[in-house]
Amino acid sequence: MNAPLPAYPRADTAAPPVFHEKEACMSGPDNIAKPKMGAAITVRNLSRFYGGTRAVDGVSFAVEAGEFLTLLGASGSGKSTTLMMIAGFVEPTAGQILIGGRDVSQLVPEKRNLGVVFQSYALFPHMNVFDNVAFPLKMRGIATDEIERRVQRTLTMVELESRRSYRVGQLSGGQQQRVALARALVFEPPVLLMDEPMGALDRRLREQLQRQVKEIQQDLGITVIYVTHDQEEAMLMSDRVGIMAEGKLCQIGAPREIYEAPRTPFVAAFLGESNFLRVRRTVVGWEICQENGTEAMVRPEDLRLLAKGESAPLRLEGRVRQIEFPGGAMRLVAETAAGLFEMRLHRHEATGLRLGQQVVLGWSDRDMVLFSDRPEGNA
Amino acid sequence: MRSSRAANFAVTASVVFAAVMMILPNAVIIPASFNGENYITFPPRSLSTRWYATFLTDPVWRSATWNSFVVAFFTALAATVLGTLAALGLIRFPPRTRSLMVSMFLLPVIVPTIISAVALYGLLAQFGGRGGLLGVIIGHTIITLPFVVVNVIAALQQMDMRLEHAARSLGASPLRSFIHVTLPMIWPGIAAGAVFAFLVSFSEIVMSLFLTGSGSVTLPVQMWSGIRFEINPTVAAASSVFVVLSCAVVMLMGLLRRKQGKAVKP
Repeated sequence: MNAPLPAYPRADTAAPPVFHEKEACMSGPDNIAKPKMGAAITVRNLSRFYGGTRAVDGVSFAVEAGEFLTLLGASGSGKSTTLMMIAGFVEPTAGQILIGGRDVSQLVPEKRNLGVVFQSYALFPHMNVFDNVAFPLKMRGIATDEIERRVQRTLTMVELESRRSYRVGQLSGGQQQRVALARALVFEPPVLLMDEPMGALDRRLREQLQRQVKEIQQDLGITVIYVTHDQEEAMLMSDRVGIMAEGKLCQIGAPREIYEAPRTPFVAAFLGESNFLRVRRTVVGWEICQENGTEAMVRPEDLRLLAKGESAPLRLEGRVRQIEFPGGAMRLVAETAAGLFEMRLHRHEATGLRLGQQVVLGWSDRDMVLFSDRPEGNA
Repeated sequence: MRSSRAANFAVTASVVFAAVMMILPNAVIIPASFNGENYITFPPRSLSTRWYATFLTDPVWRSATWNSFVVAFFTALAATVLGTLAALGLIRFPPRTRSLMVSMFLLPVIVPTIISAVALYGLLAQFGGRGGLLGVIIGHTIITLPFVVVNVIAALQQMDMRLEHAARSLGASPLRSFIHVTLPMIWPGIAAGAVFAFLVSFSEIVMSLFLTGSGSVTLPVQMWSGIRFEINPTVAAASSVFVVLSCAVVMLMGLLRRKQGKAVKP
């Protein structure tokens, strides 16, 4: 599983691939010094078929102890089914699940010792906050005073100790989410599974909770598998992100790695914005072409407007079709020979640009991703 | 505007009509039960509680009432346990299979009771169980089972099944997750099913006519013979007691429901 990174096709072989540089967010977990209570998880060739539909189709990945892995995909991509198979609620059609080196595929959910946070929180409505969090300890036959101590400690961790005797219905969505988290952590499981836990929360609360979850995960050194359809959430929280589509795992890697070196056009288009074109290598550099050549992709934020006489390794002429301000950077859409191209501009750069105006877009070959013409199946 | 007012009036009128039709028999039978004459009359010519005295002291009526309570109690118990188990199993089927299976469980309500009664009569005769209370209890359990199944399925459908998943992931065995999570959430449905089973069994006559013997006559069977062979006013007293008891049970259930509803959604 620790095989050297495969050499991704990069535009310029002279420049080292960016993701090999020691930069922030470029590698997997680097919390090696921390004491770990997490367990490693290995999933081998996991599949689940419903009649003819392949909900999950031969998914394999390995999660290191203490790592935060996110499965990212649209609804129906099989990410939740994968998680539910690891939790033990869905029986795999084929494949193997190892947690801490032990095969748990045949184990009932209550014997797997995993913390699970559900999309709807699944708090017990007939119990108060304390009893909800105490439930897993009661099921393990732990003494009352020990239960009291551990529930108190966990509620303090999620900042809800003052709400311990509240009924579930009296809590806000964010508080319910934290109770669900406390309940899943109180018995100190080595692995935490989270199924779109922030789905029902508003944006601000979400960001706050994302940070809190991440901090708790790092403090405890617990292994987390997180499922979401929210890209930003996946990129922000995870050590590594796995992109899923149509039941298959398309690519797995550190957030910047999959963003900067997507292996297929699908992954490139799925994550962030992207401009696609075809290019061909020439003696002096690169040439943009219409039919032959290799498929390539460049991100909007890597494009810049070229002034007259200025040169760039790659350049493309176009006419301004749209200028929009979604907040933050300006968005410019230009009509070019390679189709519509989108790019980012600082607000000041956009002053003086008019619709229909001729512009020249330029970018460095270092920022361009090349896709080989191999079929996507073996990506 | 005018037509909607007319429609409103029609709806109100039909509701009032239906209510009157349902209350009317009671409005007749309860005054008639306080009649002092030797036959049922309405309006009563003289007031007396002698038929209540007969109902409460006559050994035939007392034993019939006792039998009915015994049968209804054990029927409700058996139907509740079996029906709840059936519902718990049925809810795990995919929706289409489930609705098919549920309609199979509703068959005892759809098939005329007399058919089931004749079939069970023949079967019990072979095993020598004819005429005893056990036979009546078996018969009543068959026809009250659908009431429990339907009520418990409805309660289970209201419940988020992920709660069971949550309980399992937190270390509860299937049995403990049922006791600690599912049961507290669906008990109003189970209670409603049990009460229905009790009331249906208590007033059931077709099955009972076939299956009761001389020692196991139930209240409805006794009332039937009281009407059939003599116009005995004790029947009026018995049915008044019957109506009051049923109303009390239904009201009690309503109170419990309301309390439970408050507990779940504060």
